[in-house]
Amino acid sequence: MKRWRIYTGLILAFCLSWQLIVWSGRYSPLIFPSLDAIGRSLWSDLVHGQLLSQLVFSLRLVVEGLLLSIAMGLGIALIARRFVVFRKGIDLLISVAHPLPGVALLPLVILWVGIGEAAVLFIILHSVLWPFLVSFFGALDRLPIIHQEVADNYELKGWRRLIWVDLPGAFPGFLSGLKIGWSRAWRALISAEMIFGATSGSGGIGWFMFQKRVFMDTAGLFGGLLVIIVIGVAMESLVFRWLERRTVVRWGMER
Amino acid sequence: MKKWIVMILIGLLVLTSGCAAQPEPEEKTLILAEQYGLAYAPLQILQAKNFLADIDPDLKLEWAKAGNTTAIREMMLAGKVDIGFMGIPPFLIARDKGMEWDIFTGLSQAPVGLVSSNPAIQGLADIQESDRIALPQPGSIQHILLAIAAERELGDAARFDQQLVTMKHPDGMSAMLAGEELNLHFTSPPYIFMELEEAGTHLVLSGTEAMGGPFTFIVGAAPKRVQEEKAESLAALKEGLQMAMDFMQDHPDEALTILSERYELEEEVLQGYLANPELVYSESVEGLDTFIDFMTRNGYLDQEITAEEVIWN
Amino acid sequence: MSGYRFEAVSKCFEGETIFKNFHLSGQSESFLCVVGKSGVGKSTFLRMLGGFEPVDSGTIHIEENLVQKPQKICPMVFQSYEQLFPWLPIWENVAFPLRVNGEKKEIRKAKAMQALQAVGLKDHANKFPHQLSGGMKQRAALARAWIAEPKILLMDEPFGGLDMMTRESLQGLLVDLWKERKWTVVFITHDLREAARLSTKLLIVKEEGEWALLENHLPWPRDPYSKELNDWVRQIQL
Repeated sequence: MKRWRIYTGLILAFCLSWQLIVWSGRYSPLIFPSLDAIGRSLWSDLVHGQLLSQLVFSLRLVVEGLLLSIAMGLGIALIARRFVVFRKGIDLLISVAHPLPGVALLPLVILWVGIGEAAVLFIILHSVLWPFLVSFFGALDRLPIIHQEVADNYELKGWRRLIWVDLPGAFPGFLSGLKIGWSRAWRALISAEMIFGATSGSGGIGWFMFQKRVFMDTAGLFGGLLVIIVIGVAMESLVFRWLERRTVVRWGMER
Repeated sequence: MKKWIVMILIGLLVLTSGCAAQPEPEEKTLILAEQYGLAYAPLQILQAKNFLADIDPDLKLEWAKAGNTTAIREMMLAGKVDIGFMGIPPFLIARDKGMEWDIFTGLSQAPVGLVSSNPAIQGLADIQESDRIALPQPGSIQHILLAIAAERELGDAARFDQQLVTMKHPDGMSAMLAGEELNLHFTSPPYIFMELEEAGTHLVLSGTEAMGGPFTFIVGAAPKRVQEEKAESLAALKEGLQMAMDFMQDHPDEALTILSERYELEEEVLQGYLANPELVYSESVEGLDTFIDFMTRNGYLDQEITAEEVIWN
Repeated sequence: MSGYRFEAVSKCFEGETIFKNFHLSGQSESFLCVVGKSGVGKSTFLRMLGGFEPVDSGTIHIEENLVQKPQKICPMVFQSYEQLFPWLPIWENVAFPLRVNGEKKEIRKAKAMQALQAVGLKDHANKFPHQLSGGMKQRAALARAWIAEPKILLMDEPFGGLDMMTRESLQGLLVDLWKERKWTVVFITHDLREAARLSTKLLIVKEEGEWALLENHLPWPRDPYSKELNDWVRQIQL
C-alpha cells in the first residue's frame, strides 16, 4: 500500500508542476497545454472520437504479432536444438538483425511487403523475435544439469522430456524475453502506424498521435501520450505481473 | 512536507531557467526554413544572387533544414525559425490552433495533382477503400485539394482521410511506381513531371480541377514576434523575393543555369519543366478565401478566420 | 531387489587414478556405504554404477545386465537440494517416475501420498519445493527414488549439509524403510558414524586406486553414540 501512496504523491507533484508552468504563461499553449485542455481533449476523443477503437486496433495488432512471434520463436528454438547448423545460422541472423531498429527497415518493408497489416505484423515480428530468441535460447542453453540428470535417470526422452522438463525449466527466460519483446513491439507498432497511416479502418493509436501532431492539436497529442503510457504500465504491472505470480513466483523461479 | 515544496520549487527553477531566451544575435538575421521543390525556386535565386546585399547590407539570412511542414511549424514555435514556406492549409491549421503568425508573401502557383499507376483508377470514384494515397502529410495542401474534390464529386470531404500514407515526395514516387495498394501519389513539381514521364502513369486529378480555379501553392509566413521585432528585415526579404521573381522573368537563361545546378537537374529537362504555364512565381496570394471557406465548413478549422486578418503588410 | 558386480574396472579422472582393476560384488538387500577422503572418487564410483559416468575399462553389471547409461531401475538421490523440479508440487515430483511409466493420475497421486506419508511429508503434498526446508526436500527426493520399486537405490551424500538432528532422524527413517522394503542400497557419506550406523558393508576408497572392504556386524538396533559403534569407527583407516 505504501508504494501506491508514493506513486500517487509523485504524480500529483508532477501535475502541480505542470500546471504551474502553464499558468506562468511562459510557453505557448501549443507547446504546453493546460491539464484541463488535455483532459477535455482526451475525453472528447474517447467518447466522440475514434480513440477507443483505434486503441483496440493497435492492441489487437500487437497481440497478434506477439502470438505469431511466440509460435515462430518456439518453432525456431526447437529446430535449432536439433540441428547445430541451423542453430549457428540463427545465431548469426540474430546478431545481425537484433541491433537494427524496426523503423530503419521500414523502406525495405514497404518495398517487399507493402503497407497493409502484413507490413505492420512484419515489423512487430522483427521487434519481438530477436530479443525473445536470445532470452529463450539462453535459458535453454543453461538448463540446470541436475534436472537433465534426473530426467536421464528415469529414462525420460523425446517430446515428453521437452514438454515436462526442458520447457518449464526455460520458462523464466521465455517470459522475460516476452516482456522485452512486448515493449519493443508496442514502440515499433506505434512508430510504424505513424508512418503507414491507417492500415485499415480508422487505424491505430500511432495514427491518432500522428494526426494530432500534423493538425497541431497538442492537447490531444498529450492525451494520446497519456493513453500509451497507461497501456504500457498496465501491461507490465497487471498482465505480466499476474502471469509471473502464477508461474515463476509460485515456483520460486523468479530471477 | 517542507521537503516536497523545496523539491517542486527546485524542479520549476530548473525547468524555467534552462529555457531562458537566447541572447539576441549581434547582426540582424532571419532564419528561413525552405523545402525541396521547383515551387521554392525564387528562394534559390535569392540565395545565389544575394539581392539582399543591395537592399539591406546588415541583414543576414540563415537557412534551416526542415524535413517537412510540421517540423517547420514546430521549430518556429520553439523560436528556432523565423520564416517558413509552405502551403496555405498547413498555415491555416496552425493559425486556427492559436499559432500567431501571418502570411507576408505568396511564392508560387504550381501544377500539382494526383498521379496513379493503376489504369483502373480514372476518377476519384474509382478509388477503392483498400487503395492508399501517398502525400506529404494529412492537413497539407495536397490533402485539402483532394478533400475539396472529394466533397464536390462524391459529397464527402473526409472520404479518403483514412487512406493517406505520409511520405516525402521522392519516397512517394518510388512507392507509387512500385506499389500495389499504394498506387496514388498527390505530388508537385518536379516529381509530378517525373512521374508522368514514366510509362503506365496518368493524372487522375489536377490541383486546378480540384480548386475550380487558380490558387497559390506556396506562401511565406512569419510569426508575430518577427513582425514586431524584425519588421524592417521582413520588408527587405519581401523586396528581395520580388527581385528574384523579376530576375527569373528578365534573365531566364542565367536563372536556368543557377537552378539547374541547385536542383541537380539537366538544363534542357529543367527548361521544359519551367516552361509549364501553370508554374507561376508571384507574390500574390490566391485562393485563400476558398481554402478558409472549405476548411471551416468541413471542420478542419474551428475558429472564424477572415482572409484579411492573416495577411501582413 | 538385486545385486551388482564391478569387474576389472579402471577409471582415471583428470589425470588421477581413481580405480585400478577394481572388483566388487554387492548382494541383494545389502547396504553398502562408501567412505573416503574428499575428492577421492566416491561420487565417481556411484555415478559409474548409475550409468552417469563411463568406465575406462572393465564392466559393471546390475543383475546380469551391463550398465551403459542411466536407468530407472537404479534411481539416484543426488546431493543437490535442487534435484526436485521447482514447477511441480511435491506430490507431482514424487510421482514423477510413475508418470514417466505412464500411470494414471489418480493412481499416481495415491501412491505419492502413501510415499509422502512414509517420509512424514503428507501435509506438504501440494507445496512447491522452494517452500520446503533442505531436509524436507531430501526426504521428498528419497520418496521419489523408491516410489517405482527400483532394484538399487543410489544415494550421494543425501544428508550432507543438514543439521545433526535432522540427519539422525533421516538416518533412522532410512534404516527402517530399508529393512521394511528390503532394498539394495549404495550410500555415499563422509561421516563415518553415519556409515557405521547404516551399513552392512563398508567400502573405503583410498588414493591411487587403493580401496578396502569391511564387513559391518554391529547388532541392530544401532545407537550412534554407543561405545561399540565408536570403537568400530575408530579402527577404520581412511
